[in-house]
Amino acid sequence: MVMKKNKLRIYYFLLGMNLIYLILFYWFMNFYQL
Amino acid sequence: MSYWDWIVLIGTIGFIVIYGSWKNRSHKNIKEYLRGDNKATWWTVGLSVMATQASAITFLSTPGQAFHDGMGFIQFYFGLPLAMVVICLFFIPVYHKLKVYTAYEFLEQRFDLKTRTLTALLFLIQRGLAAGITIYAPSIILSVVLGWPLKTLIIIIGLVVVGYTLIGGTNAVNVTQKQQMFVIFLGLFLTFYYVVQGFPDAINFEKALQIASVSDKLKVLDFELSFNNRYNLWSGLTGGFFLALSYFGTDQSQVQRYLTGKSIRESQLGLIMNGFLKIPMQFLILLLGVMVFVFYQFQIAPLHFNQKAQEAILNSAGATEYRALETANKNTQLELKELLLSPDFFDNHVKYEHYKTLEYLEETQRAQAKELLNTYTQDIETNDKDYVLISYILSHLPQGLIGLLLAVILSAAMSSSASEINALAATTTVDLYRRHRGQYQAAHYVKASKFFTLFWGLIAILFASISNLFENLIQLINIIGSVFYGTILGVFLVAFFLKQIGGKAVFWAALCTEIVVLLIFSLDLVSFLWLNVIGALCTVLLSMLLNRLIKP
Repeated sequence: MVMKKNKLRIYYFLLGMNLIYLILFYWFMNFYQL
Repeated sequence: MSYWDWIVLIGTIGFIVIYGSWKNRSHKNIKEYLRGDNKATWWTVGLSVMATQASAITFLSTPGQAFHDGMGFIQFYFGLPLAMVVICLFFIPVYHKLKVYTAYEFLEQRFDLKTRTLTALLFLIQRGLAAGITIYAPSIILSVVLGWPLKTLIIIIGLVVVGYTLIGGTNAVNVTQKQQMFVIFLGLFLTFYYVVQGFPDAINFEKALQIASVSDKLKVLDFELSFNNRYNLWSGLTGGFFLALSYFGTDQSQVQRYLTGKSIRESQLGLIMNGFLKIPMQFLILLLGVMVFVFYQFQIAPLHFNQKAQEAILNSAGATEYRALETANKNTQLELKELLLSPDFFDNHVKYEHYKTLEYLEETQRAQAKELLNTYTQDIETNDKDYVLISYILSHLPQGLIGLLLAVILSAAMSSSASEINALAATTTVDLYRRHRGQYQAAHYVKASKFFTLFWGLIAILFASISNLFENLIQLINIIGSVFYGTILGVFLVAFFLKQIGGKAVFWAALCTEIVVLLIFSLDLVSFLWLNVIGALCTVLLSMLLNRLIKP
């Protein structure tokens, strides 16, 4: 079970990272708005 | 093009091709020839998967899209990481455990021979036609801007790709793709640097982003749920997810890439790498288009980016009208530039409003130019988004770098078509030829794979050469893609997730779905992008229903 959790960690990381991209884009498009 | 450009172009492409084929010239069996003897590391798999998806059109069209419509296109890629997770967790372990050469081979083990043959044939029809377009689409653009003969360009690109794919098999495709990706990224970063360098002294990168924002080019995300607007976050997440799942999970040109991985883990990590890098890479390409847009706010941009179209109208009855429009547009651009360079532009509301009015006028003038092209010329592409970046490259980049950027475009075209031809050969050899004529020695199938590589390569070249004879061929092939893709994905979803359903039910469900999808398509009920989702869901539901009716 511990092994399985470790193996899944990278997928959480991948999805988390893409969520961060989403947040960064949101910030990016609003930051330069006049 | 200068001598330096030719040296860089021929040197780069020549080295990649010769090195790739020389390093991988001998093969004992199809495990080496078609699956690269399972030696690829995760980053080779990742780069190969990315290089396969990134075709020349990605680099020519995407910046042009951002130039005209902003960066919203990126939302289409948000479903991709989700699809990567599903493929890594459910598809890859099964493919590796069964040691298959093609995705369709798995379907015989799970269902039966007829389901395998049906999906393999659907793939061959769809990919066989699309492979021609992968070569044709960049060739037509390059032939227009460089004045090179179209047929010669198609034949050269085609023969080079067939040459190294035939000699070196899957490993040559992997090795060349690594170097092609390096060239592609190098070219992209250098172009980005040069575009930003070309801004006037008063404009830094931050100011450039503000200017882009004034023109609504930085609208990356759209949270509004609407079926009319093609790119919003929700359609990106659902449509993008289904499309990525079918493309990466069931299309042999991608499956073959990660089947070369050393182990399950290496293949999975390769796809995860794709999930990490895809969105930033597309972001960079789109941002490049936006930067080219800002660059042209301070230079006079052509009224239409397709030079050939401009020449055609200037030699027609509409020349005077077009010239007048050109002068008016030039004046509008000069006024816009003056406003942008005024020191208080970003704090002055009146100037900002004036700018927006002028910008609207400028866009109207471009639309009028397209109308004039439609009225006075024939057979000319009036949508110039594919020509924006290449037109910038040819007129504003220094000697040598133009050659490198042409190498980028050709590398992207070759990396995609090599994977396609390699996959078509693998499917024909393994799913059709070896499955029905399995009595020969190992070396015979290597020869057969080489023969089929040549066969599909020549078919691709032939299709590319006659593409310009049919007006809507590219769109037709895209439609054929979406008509078949959904059904294939549906069959695979049943195979992986509905263990109780047998071959008979899924085969008939797939055939019925295909008829339903063709019917929906012919009645023009929905946009063809949705056919993919409908096809997949219909196959799954029908097989569940038929499984209850037919006893296996």
